[in-house]
Amino acid sequence: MDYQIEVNRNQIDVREGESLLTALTRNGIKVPTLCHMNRFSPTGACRLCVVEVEGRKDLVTSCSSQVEKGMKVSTNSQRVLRARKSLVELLLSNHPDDCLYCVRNGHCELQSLAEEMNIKERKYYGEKNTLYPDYSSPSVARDPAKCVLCSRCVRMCEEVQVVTALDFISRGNQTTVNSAFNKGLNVSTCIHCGQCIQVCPTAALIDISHIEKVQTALGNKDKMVVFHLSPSVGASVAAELKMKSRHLVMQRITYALKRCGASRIFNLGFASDVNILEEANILKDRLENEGSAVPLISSCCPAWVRYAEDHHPEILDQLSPVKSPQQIMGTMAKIFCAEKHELDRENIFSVSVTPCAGNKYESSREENTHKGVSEIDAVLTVRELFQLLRSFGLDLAQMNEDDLDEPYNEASAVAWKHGYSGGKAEAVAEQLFYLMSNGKKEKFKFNPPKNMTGRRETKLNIGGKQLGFAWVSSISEAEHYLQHLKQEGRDDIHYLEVMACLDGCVGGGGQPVSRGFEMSRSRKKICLEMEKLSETKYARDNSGANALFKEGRLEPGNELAEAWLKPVFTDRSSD
Amino acid sequence: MTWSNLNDTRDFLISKVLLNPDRDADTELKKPLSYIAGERIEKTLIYVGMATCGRIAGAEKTYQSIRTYLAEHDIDAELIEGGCMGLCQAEPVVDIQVPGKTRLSFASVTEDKVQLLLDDVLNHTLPDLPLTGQYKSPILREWEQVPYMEEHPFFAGQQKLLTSNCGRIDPVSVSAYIARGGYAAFADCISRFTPLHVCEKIEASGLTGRGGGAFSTGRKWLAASRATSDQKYFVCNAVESDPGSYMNRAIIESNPHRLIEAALIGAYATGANKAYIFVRKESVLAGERLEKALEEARSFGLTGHDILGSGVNIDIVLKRGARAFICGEETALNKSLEGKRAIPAFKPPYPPERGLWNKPTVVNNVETLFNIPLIIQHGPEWFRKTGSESSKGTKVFTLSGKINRYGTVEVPMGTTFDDIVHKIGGGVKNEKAFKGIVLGINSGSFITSDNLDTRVDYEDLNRIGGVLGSGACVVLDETVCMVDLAKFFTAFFKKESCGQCIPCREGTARMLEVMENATSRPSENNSFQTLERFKGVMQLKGLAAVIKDTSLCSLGKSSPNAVLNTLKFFRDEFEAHIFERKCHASVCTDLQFYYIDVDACTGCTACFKKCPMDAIIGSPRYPHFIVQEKCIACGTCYDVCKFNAVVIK
Amino acid sequence: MEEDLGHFFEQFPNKKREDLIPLLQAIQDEEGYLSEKIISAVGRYLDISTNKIYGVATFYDNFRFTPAGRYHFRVCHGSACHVAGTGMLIRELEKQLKVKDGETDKEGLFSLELVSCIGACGLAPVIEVNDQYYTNVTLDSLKVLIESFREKENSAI
Repeated sequence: MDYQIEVNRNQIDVREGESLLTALTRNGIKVPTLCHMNRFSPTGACRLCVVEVEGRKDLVTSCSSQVEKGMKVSTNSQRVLRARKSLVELLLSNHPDDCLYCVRNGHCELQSLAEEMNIKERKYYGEKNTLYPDYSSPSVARDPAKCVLCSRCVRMCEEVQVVTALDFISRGNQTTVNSAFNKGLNVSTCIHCGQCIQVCPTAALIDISHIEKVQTALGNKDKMVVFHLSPSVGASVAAELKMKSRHLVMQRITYALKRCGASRIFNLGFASDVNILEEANILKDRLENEGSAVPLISSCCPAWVRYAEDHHPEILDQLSPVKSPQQIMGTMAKIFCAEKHELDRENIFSVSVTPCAGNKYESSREENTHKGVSEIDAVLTVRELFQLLRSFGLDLAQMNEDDLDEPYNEASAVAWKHGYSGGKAEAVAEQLFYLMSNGKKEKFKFNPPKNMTGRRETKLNIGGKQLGFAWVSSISEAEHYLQHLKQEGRDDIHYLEVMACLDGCVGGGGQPVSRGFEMSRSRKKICLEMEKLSETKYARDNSGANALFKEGRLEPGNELAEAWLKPVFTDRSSD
Repeated sequence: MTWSNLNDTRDFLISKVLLNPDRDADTELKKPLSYIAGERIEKTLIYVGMATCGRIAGAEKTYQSIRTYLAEHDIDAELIEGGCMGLCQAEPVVDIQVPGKTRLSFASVTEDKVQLLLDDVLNHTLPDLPLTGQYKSPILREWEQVPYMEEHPFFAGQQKLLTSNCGRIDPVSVSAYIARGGYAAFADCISRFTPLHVCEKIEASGLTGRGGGAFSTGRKWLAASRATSDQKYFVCNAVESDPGSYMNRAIIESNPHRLIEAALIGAYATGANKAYIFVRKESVLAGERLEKALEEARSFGLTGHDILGSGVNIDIVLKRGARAFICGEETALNKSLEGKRAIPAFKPPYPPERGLWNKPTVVNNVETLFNIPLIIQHGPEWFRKTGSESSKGTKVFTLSGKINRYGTVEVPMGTTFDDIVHKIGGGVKNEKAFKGIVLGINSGSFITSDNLDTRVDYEDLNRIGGVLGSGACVVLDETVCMVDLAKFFTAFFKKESCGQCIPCREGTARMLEVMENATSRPSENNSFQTLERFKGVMQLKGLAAVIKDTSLCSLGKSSPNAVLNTLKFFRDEFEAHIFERKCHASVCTDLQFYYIDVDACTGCTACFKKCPMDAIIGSPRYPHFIVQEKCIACGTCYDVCKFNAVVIK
Repeated sequence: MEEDLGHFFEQFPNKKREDLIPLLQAIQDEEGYLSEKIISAVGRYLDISTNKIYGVATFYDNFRFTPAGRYHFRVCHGSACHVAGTGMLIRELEKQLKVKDGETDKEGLFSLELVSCIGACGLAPVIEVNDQYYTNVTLDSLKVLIESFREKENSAI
């Protein structure tokens, strides 16, 4: 600590150069904020974090003020409390009064603020702006009437995800967050990553809900409802509930879903293993084939794929021609279950539970439906999973455990790696190492750098060659990296893993909302834990996955492989 | 001596005047310069006031008329599209100077008066047309019995320092400007003074920002000059959008070169090699004249690379605003220049530290800048001689509203508002009772009859709880409703709020609703509305306090001023609207009541048929009656009645 | 579309963000308004998201996204004009032309724009229609003016 300042008549320790807000928060003094986001520079826009500083005429925003020696601050004087309360009252005066019918009822930041400020009357009556919802996107629903103009989604979409699918339109009281000419998100530059939902304080941005679809299917006797649980979801649930017996989280969720009427619960991690095996194979082929474009770029992230189609059609042939784990799983499940139970593929309802909002978009892509039968019929984000279980009256904290269903119940440690940035690159590298080591007993060392975000690279000696593996998270990093590779003319990177969400799926657009990105860290920790506890270390040791792979079901020429397992990337850059 | 060759003129002016440090002592220069400046002339000079105020009054037609006359009579005269000398009242203004005699300034010269004017004056006779006066001159013969312009009551109380060229010279001519002393200050700066020295001169003068901020200009420049950076910028804020003022635009149209010179000096002093002049797009003429003036300046080598051989490089770029009042705030202005939404940023850091593209940037107002060449030329002590103890220099106002003589006025700081209204402005129009002056929309402060002796002085105004503002000075009389005016100002802020911060965005909307409730039609049945109206007004002070306390920028902070000041100075009017539901100035039409005069009504049923609310009852040939509860005061009955039987109270 | 706008793009060869507003201004000066196609084309040229461009353009009052009417009323609504009674004229215009500030009527005949301050305060109220200034406008003279435009339109048909 560098020195002390006085806050509310007590001394607190501060560091030179830090913002007042950081210092207060670290010392346990809570100041409300709305527009503030960790990892983003402060704008001082909402004014909620104002405090009184001796010597300054007006109240100052703590997010944009630096600590100074001799500072005397009051965070709860009458003047400050009245100001904060009035600001929230002003927000409420232009906000719909329908909390009871709202998706965020009970976990809305505006509700929390109103409660904290002890607001008990409708002080300001005024005309509320009339704005209409937009349900055009397959992943993200917008209700601008509930927007408090905190700027978080705009900044996320512009600064981190680059595409700026939403921006501030008009001025003053007429300002809205919208796309150009009020067109729907689906014709905008949106890549459906869902990061905007993640950071939205109210229900202005929410999931396109598939809950009703799923509930209806569960209630339909003729339908066989199959759930595909992503291991990342397990990590999220364990983190959210602060579970002690984390290693059983997948079984807990299985138990709960079975009680809802689900026929089968499969482990999406199985498909992750298949995906890794296939991808490493493809990489090996490309490396042996002189003249193939490098790097091979991962394609399991639907938002990234959409971004590439929109802005970089020139790299589409570098995208890995393997479908994402979600789509592989959906395909497998429909075929397996249909065969086993002599059912029509149409009567199987396949639901994937993922931390990804983009998966909803992915499931709706043209190439993922064949003659009316979709590989995935519905996608539930982690948020929707909790909602579904609540509506069925099931409390995960009190569930027992049930095993996931064969034959897709096994998943190696590698499946957990798919959940965070750098994990997939490591898994592919390891599998490639195995393939090219010809049985030599060499130890594989990945050596990734310590930090979690930004572009990372590592060079590995595999099969006598120096191979470069890189991984980026967030579209801004992906864009920078692609520019970097082009400008420097680099050909020493052979595999690039891209995850559109910061930190990877642990920070995915379908996770429970948090704007601090703190949860990503705890979820990743749990993923790492589960990796260590996994009995099966490598994808190739996943007997089921390996068998499937070896059976040649994924070989080209196979009807299945052609129609159901080959991804289609379309140049959308002129749209 | 004629100067027909522009190149000769240029070489002469550059080498003998600009690059000559002893120019003032050199007597050989006086005569040629007086020719170039248009004081000594060889052929008749006709100068038509064609700033925007003149054009709207019809000066273009006057100009064409004169042109036609000169062609028809085969007269070789110099015809100039000029600027405005400040008395916009007199537009269209035509100044005529016949060789050897002083310059005369005629008023209200519409195109039909041109023949009479020229017929007489060209023959050295005075026509029977409004003549404002003659300009004094030590070398020219005077017209008999013609008052002096300088002694005209409008001009007598003024001190035209920075507007000295307005309405006198060809606005875009760089030669005329140099001949009257222009660009000498800049030439001296780059050849004799260091940038730091220039900053210090400005600081010593005590010049403060005239856009309303009133911050020490010199200190701003010093901060930028001290900042270390590979790139610095200098920005001239010519996007003045106060709805009550246009003087920035008027002085740019009349003397764009002074602004260019000031920008060059400022860029040099702060170490910027690029200066932006950001002018309103709607000020079409100002933009055009600046473009032409820049071209001329460029042709004289006064901008660009290695200016006048000094090694100094300064480029001036003209950019046009896209209309948003908030662009007047310096951080928002910078964002607009960068091609973004003009959303203000929190300060500190201040623009001289981190401005345009995060580089040190100084943003100065037009009027502030007009002072710069004069301070450099005559020295900071000269500047300090004008003004009051705490406020140095002059202030330019746009005097308008219910005043007899309106226009652009430059007075020394310390002048009382009483003098401005009654001496310079000639008192309230149509002999109505004076109610007050509103100074600028940001200040919202009012000068009432109780404090007319307040001086144009920052501290004086502070004492009465107001601010000077950018220079709007709108005079109000008994026919103006203060509540309606406050509503107008509040509506302005609501429209112009950038929307970034909660207090201003939502707060201005709520305040406007309170004001609208105060001036809207009372609905007897709706007691809820009445309750809301009272509630709104009582909460107004608290809401205003929060908006002032928490808004991010000065627009937000000053948005409640209009309402608060109306409550303070005109409480009785406010109460009449709220409690009596009456507007005594008869402005708020919603509070007016329509009655039918039974004596005048013939029962023609015209109003009965047209009333959209069926609020009129009556039979043919019998006087009709308006049911107040149903009436919405649309005025249709008043419009259709041919017998003037509908009375509005 | 790009071909039509080529001569505008040529004025801004550096494709910088700071060129956005001047480029939009240049295009609107000639085309009269900014259509969707124009905004998309500008976005492609400057490599900026359409939403961002729309967000910038809608912030400023000068930009319009629908064409102006054949008779475009520009009313000065500065402080001096307001105290001279422009408020009443604006209400009349809104009633008769059936438009609000910034709008064009359904037939594309009339549109309204409020500006401040034109600078003819002593001649207030001031209204400009298609580059022609009308000063000292009263309610009656305004009604006559609107009627004259309507008649002109009808006789033209």
